[in-house]
Amino acid sequence: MTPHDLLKVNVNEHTEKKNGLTYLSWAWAWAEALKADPAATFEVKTFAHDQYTEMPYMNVNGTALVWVTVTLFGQPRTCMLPVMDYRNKPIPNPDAFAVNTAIMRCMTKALALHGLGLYIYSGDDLPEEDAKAAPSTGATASMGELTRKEDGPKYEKIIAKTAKKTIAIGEGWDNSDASRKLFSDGMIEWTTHCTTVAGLNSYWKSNELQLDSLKETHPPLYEEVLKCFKALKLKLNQTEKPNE
Amino acid sequence: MKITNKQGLPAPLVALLARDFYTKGASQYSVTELMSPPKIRRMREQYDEEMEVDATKLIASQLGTFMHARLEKKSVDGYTNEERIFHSIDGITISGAVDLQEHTDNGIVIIDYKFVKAWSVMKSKDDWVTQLNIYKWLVETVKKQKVCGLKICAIIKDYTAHSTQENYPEAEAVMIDIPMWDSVTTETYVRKRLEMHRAAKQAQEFGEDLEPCTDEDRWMSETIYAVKREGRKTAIRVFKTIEEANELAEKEKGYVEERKGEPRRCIGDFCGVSKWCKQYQGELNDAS
Repeated sequence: MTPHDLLKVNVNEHTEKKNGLTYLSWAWAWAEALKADPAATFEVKTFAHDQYTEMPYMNVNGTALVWVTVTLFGQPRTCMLPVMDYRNKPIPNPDAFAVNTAIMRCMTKALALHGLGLYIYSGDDLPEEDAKAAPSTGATASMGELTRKEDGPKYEKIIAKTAKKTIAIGEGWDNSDASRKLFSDGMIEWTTHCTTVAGLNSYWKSNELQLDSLKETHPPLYEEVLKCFKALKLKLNQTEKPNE
Repeated sequence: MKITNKQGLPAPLVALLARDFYTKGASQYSVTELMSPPKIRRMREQYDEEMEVDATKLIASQLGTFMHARLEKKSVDGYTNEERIFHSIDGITISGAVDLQEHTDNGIVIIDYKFVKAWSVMKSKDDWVTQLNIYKWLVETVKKQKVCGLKICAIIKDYTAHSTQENYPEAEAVMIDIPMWDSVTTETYVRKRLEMHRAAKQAQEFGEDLEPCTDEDRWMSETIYAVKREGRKTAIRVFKTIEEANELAEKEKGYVEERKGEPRRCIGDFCGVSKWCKQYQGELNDAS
């Protein structure tokens, strides 16, 4: 297989669409890379954090940019990607989970530089050869991969549900109010991922700063989120300690 | 917090004492807050509007603050005065205000002024060790400069030249060397404390009980055993262990009186929230 062959691979069966973007499974993409070149490697660039430690991302004004180099057929190609939230906005001071997600997405994007799934990044629905044989059905932007494949359908459902909701914007609200509403809705929707008390606590703490801000600026929205978390925690506590 | 004036002090003095000189900038946790018990921090925030303190209780701490403010303005070559250093951990900003940094050929010597009573210098200095080592970690991590020494400049407010007590400070002001930790030890400590504070904050938001203060948080005094004899008011001797006390009591044909350790911080309301604290109030109710 050559880089040119990678351009022809149809990746459509391994993508999922979320929030208007097409995501390619990193695991599948990497498997294709290994099939094409068993010597394939990828490297995550690290940056000095202090004199003792290095971090796998570059600090850009408080947000993070990950760098991944994929080497195929002896040719290294480097790609970078901001660490983003589910709305594709850069996350200030991201946690380890978000960084990991971005790294795998970035690796998938770097594979696209080698040709694999490149067509979805360019907004096409089909690779070079297939496109000649079939009419295009419309352009789609793309982003990368699913970190947890099993989360796919759940994620899809949540995004669809969130997107469909009409944001109840009160009188005098502006765009930031709408984004606060979107954030609080997202917080609530994503609790469906929390199956343990520890997971729920971690989810809350990962969004501590935004929640603090929400509490200050939009107390009713904050109360709504808090109520949901409290109820779920109570339920999870009962499940985890059935004999107590 | 309400400031009372039970002694009828002049208004300008009360106004001066009531001024809050302290700032932690844009950080979410200062170093001293991080070191403080999470439960106290949460309760102080919760009861801030109801808490009361008399102006007279602010004198000691404000005198130290005034001195700090004056020292901050005294610029001398080779030294950096009062620098607040910020660092982010897992998205949470912590900060520490370093009183003085002395620039030497071997690196930076961090100096912290303490305006204290003589007993503070004589007792264990664990808190000072922790505080200065966090400053060291901040300087090394954020400023990327090597720290080669940590010192406390202790200014003794109640110094007396005639004291014969063991370990009594030699003069009105003394320099105390503080042992240094490696950065891994310090960062582990900082992360642990941060996690405790974040967990307490979340528990409070969720309406859950806060983790009780530890004996260390409560400045629990040691339980001691006094050997006494009928007809004598004072103890013959006090011991830290019951075994030693029993041995002497047997020889002296006396008896042993257990003097239980007390949570001095709670009893003296040094936390400011003891009257709302279920842990302390519960103990008082149990004892009565």
